Amino acid sequence: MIFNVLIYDLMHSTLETMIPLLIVAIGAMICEKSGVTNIALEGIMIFGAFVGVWFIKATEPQTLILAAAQTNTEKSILFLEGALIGGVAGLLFSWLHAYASISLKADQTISATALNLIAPALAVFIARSVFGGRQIMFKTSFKMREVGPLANIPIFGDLFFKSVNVGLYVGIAILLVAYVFLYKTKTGLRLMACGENPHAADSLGVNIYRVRYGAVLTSGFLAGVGGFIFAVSVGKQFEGTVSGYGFLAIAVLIFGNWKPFRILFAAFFFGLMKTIAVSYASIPFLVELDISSQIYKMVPYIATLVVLIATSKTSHAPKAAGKIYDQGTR
Amino acid sequence: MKWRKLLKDVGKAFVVAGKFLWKILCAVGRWLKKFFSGSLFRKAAPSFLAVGLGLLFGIFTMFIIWLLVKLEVFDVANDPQFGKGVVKLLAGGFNRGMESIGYMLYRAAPLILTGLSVGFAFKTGLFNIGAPGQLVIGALAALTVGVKISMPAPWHWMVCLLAGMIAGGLWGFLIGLFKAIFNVHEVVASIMMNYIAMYFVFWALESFGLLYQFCMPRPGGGFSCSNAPYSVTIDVSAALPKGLAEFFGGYSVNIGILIALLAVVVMHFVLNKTTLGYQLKAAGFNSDASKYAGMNTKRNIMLSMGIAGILAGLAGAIVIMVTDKKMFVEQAIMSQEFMSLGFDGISIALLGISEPIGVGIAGLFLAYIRQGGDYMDLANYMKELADVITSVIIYFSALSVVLYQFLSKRKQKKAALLNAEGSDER
Repeated sequence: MIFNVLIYDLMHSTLETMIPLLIVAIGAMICEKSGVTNIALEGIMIFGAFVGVWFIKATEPQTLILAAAQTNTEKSILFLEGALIGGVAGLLFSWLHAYASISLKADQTISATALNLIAPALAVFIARSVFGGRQIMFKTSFKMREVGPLANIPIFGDLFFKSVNVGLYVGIAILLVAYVFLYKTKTGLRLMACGENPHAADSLGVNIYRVRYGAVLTSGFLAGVGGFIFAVSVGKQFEGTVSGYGFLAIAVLIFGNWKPFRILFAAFFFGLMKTIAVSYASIPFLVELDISSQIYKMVPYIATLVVLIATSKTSHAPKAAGKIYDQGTR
Repeated sequence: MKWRKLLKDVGKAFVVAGKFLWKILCAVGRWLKKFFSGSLFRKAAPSFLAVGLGLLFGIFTMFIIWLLVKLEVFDVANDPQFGKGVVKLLAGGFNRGMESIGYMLYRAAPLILTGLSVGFAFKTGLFNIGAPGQLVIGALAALTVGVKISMPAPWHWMVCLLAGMIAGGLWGFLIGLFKAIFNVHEVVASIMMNYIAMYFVFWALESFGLLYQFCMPRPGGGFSCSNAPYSVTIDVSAALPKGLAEFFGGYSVNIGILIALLAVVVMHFVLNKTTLGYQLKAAGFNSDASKYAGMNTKRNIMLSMGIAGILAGLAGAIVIMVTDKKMFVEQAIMSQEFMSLGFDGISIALLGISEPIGVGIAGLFLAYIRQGGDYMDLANYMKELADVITSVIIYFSALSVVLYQFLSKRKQKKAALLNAEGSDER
């Protein structure tokens, strides 16, 4: 019985960790498939989370009791609103990256690095100027104890419909939509063509610049949503950091070999590792192994490096990713 | 109505001020153009443009905040003073005479070194975003040697510096190895290696017993100890000599800046006067051509990442080799002091157009602005504004090459137009 509870707890916190990773990695996938590398995800996540959390703080019930008394529906609506606002903020912020790297043909890595530095500095600066401290605190806990009658389904109910937030369903929906969009629609196939061979796509009348703009802005939106979901599932305050989830999402993308459902698996694996790193003290056989939690935190990155080394010949990475597109070159 | 008028006036004032500042910038630019030789200036001009735009953005932000507080959009305990803040920011390292100059130089040392690391890699066609990892590993090595081994003073700190350089160099070499042998892109490998380095350092601090220990007497006798989230400080014999402290009057001003300047000279020499430097630069210009010319490209990639790593590791060692410096176990890469120094290296290399001497100047400049930022709270502004300004400067420096081309093209067009009109009149 205790063992069961442990498994469910592990699963819940794994799901919680993996959802932001999944969403952001899918954004990164769309972006890279169009031929733009986006290592600005960390910064975009921070910015989206910052704006989203600020929105939550401003619109939630202003007393603790009222905040705790919100029904599932109220919580979910607030959550979705916050995610939307965070996503839009991320989209606007990623416009800087799109403008620099697509319109002005600046180096994609450099402009992304600049964004990564701007976001935390700006978030902390504004938070300290407006709220007087680094943290933005809010009161709503978005975890729902039970999701309607669905929670009564034997194993599934316990796993997916108890003590979760709406982010889980948002993440799954985004995964499915992204899959259908990329592989089953004309626009999606064109987008992938832009990342593989932009000159060929251009010769067939695809507007490379427009497609890439769309892809970068989509990834910005998703990174903003992911940042917001990360911020509200970690605790009730935001401190101007997403603890490296943006970079981890890039690792997820690589580990998932640029394919949607492998990314789901990779996000699950990385989420599990993060969870184990935090809670290995409560898992009997891991306590006996007596490995430092830092090692578990290292595993995803080492695994990604190993995958990179092993698959450097058979990688499905978009061929033109990171290369500036100029119609004049050939 | 009042609002609109106010906004209009403010807008006008801003335009005038902007024009004025632009004129000053242009004048400074013209002066510098005479000063520098033509080609070097043309290469450095985008950096000046980026710095100017970044500073303008910072001042604009300060103005907006001042305006918002004046219009009572939000409340703060102490109203910011716009004029004073701008003066404090621009006065930078000169705010408090010799003392603040000393601190500025102290700050500049690791910045210059990481800038050299990234800039050197740029020169050889590689993007060393792995400087944070190399830096933190170098700092760990220096700390370990500085605490675990006891030696007399002058040798101890030299060995520590050497340990930092070797550790950082190895970490960079590994990234080069992945690139050269396994064809893994160095940016992705670097990001992974940064995180591996960070968690490795935390693990090492824990298991080498380098974390500071809080000890409390237990009721039954003996002590119960627990780890603090930060490291112990380095032995006094391993701290860098503070020869400059007496001169400048700052407490922790040490010889780091001399080491950094020495590194600038050495790198300038290596890049411009040696065969190795020539080969590495050739690989940066055109790797296919250099391969065709019979140079060993794989060896060169590993070598230049190794050298970049040595420089970053040296920077880490210099930061930790101060008697009261601790490493914090802070999981966020951007707010981890050592890691964010590595990211600063990217901005400095960009501003310094990857030339060692330019990097030296850019490092000093960044330290100057940061130092100015520290005095901003006297005008009731947050010192994080300095970080905002520097990050905006990098963004502009990514754009500035294009912007500068655009501006100079427009100038050419104007000149051509004027010429055409002139010939018509004739």
